[in-house]
Amino acid sequence: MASQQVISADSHMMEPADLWQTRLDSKFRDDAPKVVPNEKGSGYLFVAPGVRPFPVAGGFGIGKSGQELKEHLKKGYEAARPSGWDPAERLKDQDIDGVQAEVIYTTLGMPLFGLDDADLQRACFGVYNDWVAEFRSHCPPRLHPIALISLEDIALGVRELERCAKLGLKGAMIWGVPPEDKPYHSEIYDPFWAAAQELKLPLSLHVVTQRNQKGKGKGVATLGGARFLMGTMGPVYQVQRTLSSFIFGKVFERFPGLRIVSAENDSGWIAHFMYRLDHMYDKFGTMTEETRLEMKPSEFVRRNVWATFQDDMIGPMTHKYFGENNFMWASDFPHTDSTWPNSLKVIEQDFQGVPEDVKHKIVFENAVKLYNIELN
Amino acid sequence: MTAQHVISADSHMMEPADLWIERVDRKFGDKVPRVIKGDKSGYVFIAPGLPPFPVAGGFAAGRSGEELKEFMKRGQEEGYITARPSGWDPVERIKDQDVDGVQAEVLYTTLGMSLFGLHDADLQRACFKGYNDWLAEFCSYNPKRLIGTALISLEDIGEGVKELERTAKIGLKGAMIWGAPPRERPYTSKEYDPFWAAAQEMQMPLSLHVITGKKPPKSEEERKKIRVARDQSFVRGYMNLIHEVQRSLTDIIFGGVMMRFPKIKIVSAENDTGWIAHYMYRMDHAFDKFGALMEQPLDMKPSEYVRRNLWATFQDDPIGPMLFKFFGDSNFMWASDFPHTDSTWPNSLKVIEQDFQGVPADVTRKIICDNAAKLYQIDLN
Repeated sequence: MASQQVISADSHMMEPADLWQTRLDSKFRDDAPKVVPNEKGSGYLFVAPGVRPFPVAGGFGIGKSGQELKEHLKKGYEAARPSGWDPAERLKDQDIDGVQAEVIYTTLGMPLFGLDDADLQRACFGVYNDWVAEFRSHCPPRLHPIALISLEDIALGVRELERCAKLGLKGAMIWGVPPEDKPYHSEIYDPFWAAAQELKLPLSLHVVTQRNQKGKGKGVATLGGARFLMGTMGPVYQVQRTLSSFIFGKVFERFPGLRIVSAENDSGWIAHFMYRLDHMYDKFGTMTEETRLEMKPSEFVRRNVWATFQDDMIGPMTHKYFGENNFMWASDFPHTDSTWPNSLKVIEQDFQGVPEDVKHKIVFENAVKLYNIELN
Repeated sequence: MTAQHVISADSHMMEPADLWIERVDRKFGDKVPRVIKGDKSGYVFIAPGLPPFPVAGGFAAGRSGEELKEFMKRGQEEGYITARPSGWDPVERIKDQDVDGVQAEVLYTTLGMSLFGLHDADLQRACFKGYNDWLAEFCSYNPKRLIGTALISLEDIGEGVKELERTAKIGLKGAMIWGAPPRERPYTSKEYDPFWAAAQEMQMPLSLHVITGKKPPKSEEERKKIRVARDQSFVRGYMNLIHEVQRSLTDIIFGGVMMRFPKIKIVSAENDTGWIAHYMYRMDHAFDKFGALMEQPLDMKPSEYVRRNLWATFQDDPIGPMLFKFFGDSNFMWASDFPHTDSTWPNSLKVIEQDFQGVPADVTRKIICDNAAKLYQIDLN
C-alpha cells in the first residue's frame, strides 16, 4: 500500500465561528450566520435566520462514534483540528492520512442552502468562495475547494460560477434538492447548465443541502435516536429523485457535457438504480414522445454522473456493472463519518476483490480527470 | 436449465370484475369496489376514495413499449376479453405455469392492492374476507402449486389477528399487510405487537408488497385522475415506488420489531433486490456511529436482523444475484410477477439464465426455488 496514490473527492472545510460576521457586507451583519453557545444545553450552535440550529461539534466529530461521540457533541472549537481553516495544518493532516489531495466542500455552508433570504444567501456564498480561494492559494495542487452557488436567481448564479472559475475553484455545489416548484428539469435552469458545461465545472449534489431543510423551526438538530436512524436512507432517496429529474427531464440530453457529482450519498445503490431506470424505461418510457430519450437512462448515468463515497464497500463490489470510471473515494475529513486517519486501511479492506487498476481509478484517477488535478 | 425447479414467489390473481359484488355483504351497497366501463376511460376498477385503476395493466404480461401502449388501449376498450383466464381459473393457471416452466407460485392479489388504501375500515375488512375465501377456493384445486397470500386489514389489530388465524385455517400460506401504514400509526408503534406475535406463532410470513401503502385521503380532483403510464412524472415516480416499503422496513428494524419477535418473517415483495446490500451497509454504518445514542438500543446489528427476518422477491433485477456473496443466497426469492406488465412470463427460464450468469448453480437453485419452498413449506413432490 506504500505507493498507493489517493485523493479524497469529498472532504470539508471547518469555517471559523466568525467567518460571516467579519466578512459580510455591513448591511447583512445583523443577519450574519454565526456560532453561539447553546444556552439550553452544552456546546455551540451554528445559527442563521430561518435555519435549524446545528451543533458545530458534528462538523469535527472525526473518528468518534457511540458514547464518545455523545460526549464530543457537547464541545466547541477547542475540540476541532485547525486544519479546518489553516491550510498549512491541512497539508499535515493529509500526510497523516496518506492522502495526496482533497476536493473540499463546506461544512457550515450546507445548512445555508436552506436560507429563505436570497440576497443574504448570495452574500454568504460569495464570502465563502473568496475565503476558500485564499485557502487554496497556499497549495493549489493539493487543495481543491468547491464553490457555493445560489440558484435563487439563475443569472446571478451564472455570474458567480464564472467568477469562481476565475478564482480557481474546481467545481460548485448547488441545492441537493431544489424547491418543489422549481425542479431541475425546468428550463429556467438551462443558462446555468450551459455555463457549467462551457466552463467544465462539475456541479455537486451533496447530502444535506436541500432547499427545504426538514425540521426548520423545530429547535436544535439532534443526532442519534431511533427516529434519526430511521431517516438514514433519506439522503439516498433525495439524490435519486434529483437524478431522475435530470434524466427524464432531458437535462442530460440538452447538455451532453454536463457533469453532476452525487457527493456523500454512497455508491452501493447506483447499480440497482440504473437497472431500475432501464427496466422502467423499456416497459413504459418509450410510449410517448414526452418520455422518450435518445439513449437508455443508464447511459446518461454513465456519461454524466459521478459519485463520491467513503466506506461503502458495496459500490466497488458492483464495479463490473458501473463505477469504474465514475466512483470517487472520499475521506469526508473532518466529519463524524470520516475514515481519517485510517483511510488507507479502510480502502484496503473495502476494495478486497477489486482489481488494482479499477481501484486506482476509483481512489485516485477518476478525481484527477474530473477536476483536472495536477499534482506535480 | 432442464429439470430445474422454479417457484415464482410473487405472482398475481386477476380478480373477476364482480368478485366483491358477489362476495361482500349487500349492506355496503354502491360502496362495494367493482370494475366498470367508463365513458372515456374504458374498463376501470373503482372503490370509494381511490383513483380509478385501468384494469388492463393487471394482465399485460410480456408486453412493453409500443406493444404495451396498443394493448392498454385494447384492454381499456374490451376489458377482460384481453386477459388470460388463468387469473381466476385454476385449471388454466396450471397450464400457464407449465408454459413458463414454473412448478408453483405464491399468489398475490391485483385489484386488492389498491384496496389497502381504503379509508372505510369495515368495507376493507369485508372486501379482504371476500377475497380470502375466493383465493382459498382457487388454491384448493392444487395446493402444491397454488400458494395463496391473504389480505389482512390492520385498521383494527384485534380483528387483524382473528382474520390471520382464520386464513391460516383455510389454507393460505402468508399475508399481505399495508406496504406502508398510515403516517400516524407507523410500524414502530407497539399497538401492532399482538399481530406480530400471532404471525410469529403461526409462522405466517407477512408481505410488504409494492404499491400497497395507505395514503392520506385524496381531494375530489385528484381522485378523478386516471393513472396512465404516460408522462414524465409517472416515469420519475416509478423510481420512488420502492421507497415506501424501504421506509417501512427501516421502521420495523430500528423500531425493534425484529428484536422483540425474533422469529417473525417479513417479505419485501416486488421491490427489487439490488438495493438491499447497500441498505444493510448503510444501516450498519449509521448504527455503528449513532446507535449508542438510541433510546432503546438494538441487541444486534441492523444487517443481522435483515439476514434473520427478511426475505425479498424480485423479477429481472440482476444486481441482487450479483451481490449474493454479501447477502441474498438464503433470502432472495425470484418471481415472475405473472400476469402483470412487469412479468417475465413466458420467458422466465431464459430471463433466469441470463440474470444468474456468474452465480453458482447451488445459489441459483436456492434463489429460484429452495428459499421459497422453505419459507412457505411448499411440498414439490
